[in-house]
Amino acid sequence: MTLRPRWWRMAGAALAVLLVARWLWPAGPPAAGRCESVARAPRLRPDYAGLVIPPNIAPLNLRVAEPGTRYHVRLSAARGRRLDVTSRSGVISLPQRRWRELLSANRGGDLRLEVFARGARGRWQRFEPVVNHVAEQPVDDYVVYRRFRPFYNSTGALLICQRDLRSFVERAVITRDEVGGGCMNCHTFRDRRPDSFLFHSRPKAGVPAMTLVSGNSARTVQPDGPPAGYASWHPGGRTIAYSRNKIMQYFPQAGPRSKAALDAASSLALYDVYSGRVTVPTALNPPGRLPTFPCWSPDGRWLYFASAPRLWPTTRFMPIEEQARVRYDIQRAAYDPATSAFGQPETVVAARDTGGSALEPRISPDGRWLVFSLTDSGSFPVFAERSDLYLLDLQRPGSRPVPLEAESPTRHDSFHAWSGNSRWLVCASKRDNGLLARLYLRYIDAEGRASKPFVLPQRDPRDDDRNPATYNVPEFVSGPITVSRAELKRALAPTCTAPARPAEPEKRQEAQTPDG
Amino acid sequence: MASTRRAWQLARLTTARIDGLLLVWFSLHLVYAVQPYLIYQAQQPPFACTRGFAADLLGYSGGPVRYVGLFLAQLDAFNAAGVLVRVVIALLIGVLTSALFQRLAGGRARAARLLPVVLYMLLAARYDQPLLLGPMLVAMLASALIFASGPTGLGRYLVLLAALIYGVAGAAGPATTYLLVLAFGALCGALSGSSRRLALAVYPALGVAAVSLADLLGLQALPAQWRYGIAPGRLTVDLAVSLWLLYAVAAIAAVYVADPLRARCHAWRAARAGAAPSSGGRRVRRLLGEVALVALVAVLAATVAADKAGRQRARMDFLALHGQWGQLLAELERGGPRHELAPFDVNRALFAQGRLGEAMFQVPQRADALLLSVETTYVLATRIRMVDQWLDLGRLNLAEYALHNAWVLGDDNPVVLSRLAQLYMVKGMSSAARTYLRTLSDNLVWRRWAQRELHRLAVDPTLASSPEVLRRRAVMLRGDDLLHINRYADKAEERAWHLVPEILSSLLRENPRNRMALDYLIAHFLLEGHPEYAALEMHRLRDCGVTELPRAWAEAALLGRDLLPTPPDLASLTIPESAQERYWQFRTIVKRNRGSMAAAYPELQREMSGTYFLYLVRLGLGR
Repeated sequence: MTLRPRWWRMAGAALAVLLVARWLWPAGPPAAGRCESVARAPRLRPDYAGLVIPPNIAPLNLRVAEPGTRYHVRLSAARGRRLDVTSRSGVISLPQRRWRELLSANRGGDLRLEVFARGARGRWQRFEPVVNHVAEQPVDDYVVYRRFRPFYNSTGALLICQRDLRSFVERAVITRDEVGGGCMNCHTFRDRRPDSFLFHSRPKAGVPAMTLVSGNSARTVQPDGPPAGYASWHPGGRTIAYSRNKIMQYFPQAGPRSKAALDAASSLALYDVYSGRVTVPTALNPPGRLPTFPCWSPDGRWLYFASAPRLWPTTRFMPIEEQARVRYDIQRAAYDPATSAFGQPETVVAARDTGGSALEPRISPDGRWLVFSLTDSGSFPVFAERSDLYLLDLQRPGSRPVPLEAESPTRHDSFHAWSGNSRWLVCASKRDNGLLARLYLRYIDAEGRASKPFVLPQRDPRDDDRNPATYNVPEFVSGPITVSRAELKRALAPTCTAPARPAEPEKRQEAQTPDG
Repeated sequence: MASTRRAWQLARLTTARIDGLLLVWFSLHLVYAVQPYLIYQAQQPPFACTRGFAADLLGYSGGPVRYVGLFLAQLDAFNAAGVLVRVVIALLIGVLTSALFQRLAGGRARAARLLPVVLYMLLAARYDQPLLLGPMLVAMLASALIFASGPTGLGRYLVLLAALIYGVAGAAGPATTYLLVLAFGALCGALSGSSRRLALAVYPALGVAAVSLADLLGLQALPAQWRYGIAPGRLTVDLAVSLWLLYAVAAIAAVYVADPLRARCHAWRAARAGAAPSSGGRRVRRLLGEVALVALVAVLAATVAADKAGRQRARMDFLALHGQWGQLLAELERGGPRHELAPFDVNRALFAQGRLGEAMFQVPQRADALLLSVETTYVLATRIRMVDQWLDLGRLNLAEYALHNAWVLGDDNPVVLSRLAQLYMVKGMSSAARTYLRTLSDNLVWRRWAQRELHRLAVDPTLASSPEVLRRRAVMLRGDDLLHINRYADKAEERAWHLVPEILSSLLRENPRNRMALDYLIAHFLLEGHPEYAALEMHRLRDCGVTELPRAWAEAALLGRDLLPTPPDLASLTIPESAQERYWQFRTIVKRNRGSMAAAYPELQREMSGTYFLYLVRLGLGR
């Protein structure tokens, strides 16, 4: 019997389809016994090994940074279906739905990540498994941050964005174009509520303003006196504490750091949201000091802030020489919401004890922990050559601040924020390259022990390796921001077109927070 | 019957010959007169071979054509590929227009098919027009043809319009798009054979409404702008718009004359069956007419539409940014392209060739033509020149500052990213350098360079074996002179200029063998009219291995000797005889004119051209 040519053709076509399918569909690794074992953990980018992760985080997509022609990743846990992903490039994109199922089934348990790589000779290698722990406590669903290129001036693209931490969805809250092409910064939420927040804007041709958002509407205000800098919203909702900084930018001519900034003067003020009245409490602003970075305690009874002695006369335009000696304490002052009166400030963290400059105090929502950044000197951790996060137990009298990471002192961490359940800390960190900041999450357990921080996952894990943007001022929020960009733009419109204030020599660059 | 077919074949052959002639002319024009690599240099279109880039671009209306346009624009960097792309686009436009006009008016409107092709060819030769105009027009014409070739109706029109709005609208600016859609709607209405009035009333209105919506959606979708600096089109009125407006008017006019044309076409077709083939005389006339058209296009391209200034600028930028100093000097000496940066480029090129001290005053000089320090310049190529200048001198942080300012102008311009990578490699911040190199490795043009550098970093993270990096590290400023810089912080305009001697001297304190800093310091004093200060610095030339003073330096040393109370220390550097002779000649001429420089100037100009003496007199006289 002979096959007719037509059948030969069909068989040939089927074979070709099979071969193509075989090529397109990468094969998984052979059984464990037939793999060559490698007695070390695989190199992963980002470094997602030995972490504590939230049960609601987006898939930790990664790239296997091992030589090979084919890669296989197997994700398994005590409960739930195993997850297998194969790749030719080493880029592992985990399916979102199954990832979520696996995480929710294993709260409080471990996730085991096995990595296989096939070498050039076709031999599969099996690396030591990587184990990550899934925390019981979720992280807040959203984080809001600034994203921009690390420019010196305020003409490049700058956005305030929100990211859904459960997925990869990122949305612009407001863009630089919508604030009249100037700068915007220091978005501050009232108790992590997405419908109640403020941010500052400095349009190019307009006047500096503070935009207050409530629900779906926004209004722009211009508090009396110098423009606002860093702010903190009182839990009661009526009062906003903010700093008024005379910030000067300067440019070191040698060394790794090419830009820096200093506070030539600063003060703390209170803004009454209902009446629009500004008060400058004398208790917070003793003569000869530089108070800044206000932060309310969760119960609203204390205002924490950083403060340093001013080492130069007020007439000094740019006190650069003194910056190496400026070291900030963390102080707090008791506050009576009924009378809006402050007690005398008391020092919580003293510069003489830390040997550095303690800045950006942030209190955990449960009121137990104070986290601050510590630099060698000055008031700008984002520009400092060294900036590490320290934690202080406020409920244990006599406790001393401890670094969140003990092994290496230089992490370039700053702009940290607590999650609503006081278990997660997000910060901007330049630890990866010393230049561009990325957002890192870390878990703080009930005893104040911090887990290894990890960079927020991206849909394409290579994005962070090649993204020339930098991120800062991350703030957790419990849900998506409800106000529309059109409403924000409408509220900002009058400030974008108003004539600029007449420049006063000593106030010319006040409250301009340089991009970090 | 056979003779009719032969006549048709002959007619088509004639048409093909004309089209071919036009394309050959266009190819040669591109190769010799336009040179697509210069268009790439002038525009530096962003592109990344990543899923993210594609997803971002395809997320808004006009994205697909924009993506294709940006991809094809990368090929301009490879000259032959750029030529090929433009020729193929012109060919496609010609074929599609021809088919459309054939459908609209039969064979009678054959010459009209050339109109869009010619417009495209003229635009393709400009350095400020993006390549995506071509793909956009091809997409528009293809859509019109698809519409015209099938059953008609509002539903089909809307589907096509939706596809068009997603694929094309906004790619080259809403104004252009509106006009195109209006023309398209009118054209399709006429082609459909349905009620022309309805088509003219409804289709364009629908088009405008839909494109407005697309524009709004496009402006909402900003990820591409965040990441790559690519914004959806903006309302612009430029040459392209004007030309497309002409085309739109032509298309609408075609609608009004469609019926008479169609009637004539039917009559012509009916007569054609029995008619004799067109006479040889008519064919010759047509041939001559079309040849004349090609000639007219050539003349237009060479005169009215030629972007000579754009080309010159791009050429100078290309040579300066690629460090082809020898060629740049040669072109300038031949009286080639000149622009406001030419004096800076000349001095940089002379230094690179080791001839600054010798030939500096043999070319026209300006007192401020040494260091680029204008902080208010908004031209990317100028800022990158400034970056290169600081990088080569060793002022890395000033280079970084200039780079970030350049970055604002060029978004993710690959040249800026490459300089950032180089800068951080020299500074030893290899992780930061890798970020920019990885970004560049997604760029078609820069991929190879970026991957090579990444490999070098992988093999040698400190780059201790890279001569280029070592050379820059050797001259790098290590001690911070921050306070000197910030002393002038309140006088932004003046500060850099006041600081030039300080900036250069600090580099020499750091490394006395920094030849560029030394040559520029001496040249700075000479250009400022202070040969005595220059003479005081000349002893440093010994550290750089110089034994005999070059021509211009020697002339300055001789003048400086006269101006200083005590002779300057020249560290036993010899002054050439020829310089001394010129010096005495200069003194004689001045003495002959009783010390009056104004009186001596004509003679000096005649006798002492190319000398520092003449420059100094000119400077003193303000000429």
